[in-house]
Amino acid sequence: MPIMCTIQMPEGRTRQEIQKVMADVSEALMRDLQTGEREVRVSVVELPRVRFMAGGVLARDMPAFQKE
Amino acid sequence: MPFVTLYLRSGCDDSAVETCMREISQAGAEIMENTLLRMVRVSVYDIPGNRIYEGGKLVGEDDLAPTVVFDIGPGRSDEAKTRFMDRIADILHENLGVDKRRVRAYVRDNTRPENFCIDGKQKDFSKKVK
Repeated sequence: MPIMCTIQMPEGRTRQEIQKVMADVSEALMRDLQTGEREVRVSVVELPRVRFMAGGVLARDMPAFQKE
Repeated sequence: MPFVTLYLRSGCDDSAVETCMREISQAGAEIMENTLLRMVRVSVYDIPGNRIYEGGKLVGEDDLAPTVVFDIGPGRSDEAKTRFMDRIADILHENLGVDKRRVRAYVRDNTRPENFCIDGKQKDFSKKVK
């Protein structure tokens, strides 16, 4: 059973954070859905900080996305 | 949810796009039932002009070819969804000069409510926030 997971987020997180998220999400999917290692795909889509808005606030103005 | 995702030809003026995003956020909070501004997410994908096709052919250079995808949970009326899509087309027309007739919108409102969570907790769509 192929599982696909796309995570959409503003750019500004470190490479290490993103790699850890992908590994953790993959592990959770494989564990909880009891899939084989070849059946899980996870992609992270990073949007420019001026192309993501939450609650009327641009990611550009969010402290969480000021790294890197 | 609600999430509004816009696909636009790249090269649009940043401040005009930002204005669109602000006005869409505000309109979502005003028009959609049980929706507050803090709940609305708007994201924009810039697509290079040589990667946009219509009828199997590249679209014209002056065609922004906007596509809107609106993800929304249960508890909102068809009338509100239609009004919101119309308002989004107006906003794109007013700020980016898009021909309203060229705005295509898809409303995805059939996600199972139990398949959406916030911070790991299943969202309770029966709870009224306004």
